[in-house]
Amino acid sequence: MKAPDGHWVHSTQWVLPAHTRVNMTIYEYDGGTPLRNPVWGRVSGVYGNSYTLNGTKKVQLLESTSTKTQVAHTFTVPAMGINVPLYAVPSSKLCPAAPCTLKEPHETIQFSFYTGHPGQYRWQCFIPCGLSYLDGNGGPMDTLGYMDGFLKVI
Amino acid sequence: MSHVEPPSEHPGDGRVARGANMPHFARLFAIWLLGTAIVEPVLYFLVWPHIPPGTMTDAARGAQFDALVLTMMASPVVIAVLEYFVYAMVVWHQKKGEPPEDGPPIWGHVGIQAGWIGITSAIVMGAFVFGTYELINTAGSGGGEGPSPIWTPAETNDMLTVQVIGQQWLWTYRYPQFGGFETPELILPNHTKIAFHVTSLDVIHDFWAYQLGVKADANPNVDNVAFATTNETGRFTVRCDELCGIWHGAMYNYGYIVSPTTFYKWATSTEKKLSPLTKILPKFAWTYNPSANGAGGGYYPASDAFYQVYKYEYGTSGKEGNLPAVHVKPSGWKPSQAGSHHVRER
Repeated sequence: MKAPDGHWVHSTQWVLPAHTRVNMTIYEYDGGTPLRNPVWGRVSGVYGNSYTLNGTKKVQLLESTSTKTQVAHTFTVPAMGINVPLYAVPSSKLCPAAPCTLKEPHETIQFSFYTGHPGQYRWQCFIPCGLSYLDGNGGPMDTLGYMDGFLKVI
Repeated sequence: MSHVEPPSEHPGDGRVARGANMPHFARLFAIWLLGTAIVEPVLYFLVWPHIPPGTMTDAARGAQFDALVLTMMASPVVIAVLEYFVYAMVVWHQKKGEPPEDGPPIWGHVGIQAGWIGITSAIVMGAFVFGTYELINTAGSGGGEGPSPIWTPAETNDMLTVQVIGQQWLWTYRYPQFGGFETPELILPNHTKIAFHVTSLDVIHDFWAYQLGVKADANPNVDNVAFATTNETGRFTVRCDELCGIWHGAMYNYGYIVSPTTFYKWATSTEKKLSPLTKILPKFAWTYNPSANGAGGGYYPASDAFYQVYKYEYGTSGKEGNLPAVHVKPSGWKPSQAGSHHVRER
């Protein structure tokens, strides 16, 4: 997460103002798989129910049943109805070692959402991305600070 | 079992001395009878309407009634125990300044022993018979519900089928009578029999629609069936009741019972809105086999999906069963199918 002072901070717990439009940019560096449940391929809960991929392509529904289109993660806030499936980087172009810079291959996903009422909203990734864990749901999926966190709307 | 003869008098204590004129048993019985006569109507008339889970469905109403009956059965026992406890402290306690006094000798009493065994046996057997009847009656748990129902409900023609899919960590719902769309929203029509088919894509969850009186384990590769007929419009809570990981506590949402007309509008518009998504969903099945490759990988109708459909369409005996074959021959669900009360609003 890029803090207001310009530094990058490793955190998945963000404080946001209530009743505010938030413009969000996600840099996605991971490879992906087809969706376990294709229902997570639909963009929802954000302005226009769509996002912009790499500054040009409008995405509303990500069909990941084919091997060509794969999903790395989702940014999902169930209580806000937000679901944003993140395009995966082709496995042949993956950044070799983290932390990756913006010069490395990545996908840029931009969208906006409305925060609404104050509260603590959990977010999580709905792609079981914990490789080698049972059903892919362990490890980073099960650990705050990685594939889940909170939006603290104040 | 024994019969206790309490001291007949305690010099210097006028209260006990007065009581000595009346057999303790008769006094205890009178107090118990009075307490029971007060508490039972209070339970029936005042407490019953407020016993959870409420009256949103027939299943909830049944659970509420069961809780009432068991409470009314238990309350005379509770009253007797508490009454005896208080009575003993008041009447038979050791007085200040008096030396410790040994209790009276205890003698066997066949009548009390027989009465004790008879009454407690009657209470336990009553609870057993009542509980068994309620489990079986109206397709209750263990009878017409579960992964292998013994009985099926009599009326199934107007039943709305809702598939409940648990996944870490959210519930989604598929409506096979409306094209099989899948959504995180759970909307139900009022005055309609609902068949919940509960399954999971990963670990064991538990679908607990609290105010509906519906609770069913969500196991991967298992189609767990539960029935409820909606009675009231309003909001209800859905929780996961099986510890399933870090966000288990957040795995809840709210569902709504609306009028059949409102439901039909919502269902048809949602079916239309989600049609691009529904096209890429796996074909509707009672259970699904997620890929076990450890990271994503699509979910697919279970290999025994045909058997599952066959079983419910024709029954395990091979003869045509009562459950509607909504997945095989989707006919759509109309508000008129909600019965003659579909226009009634609360």
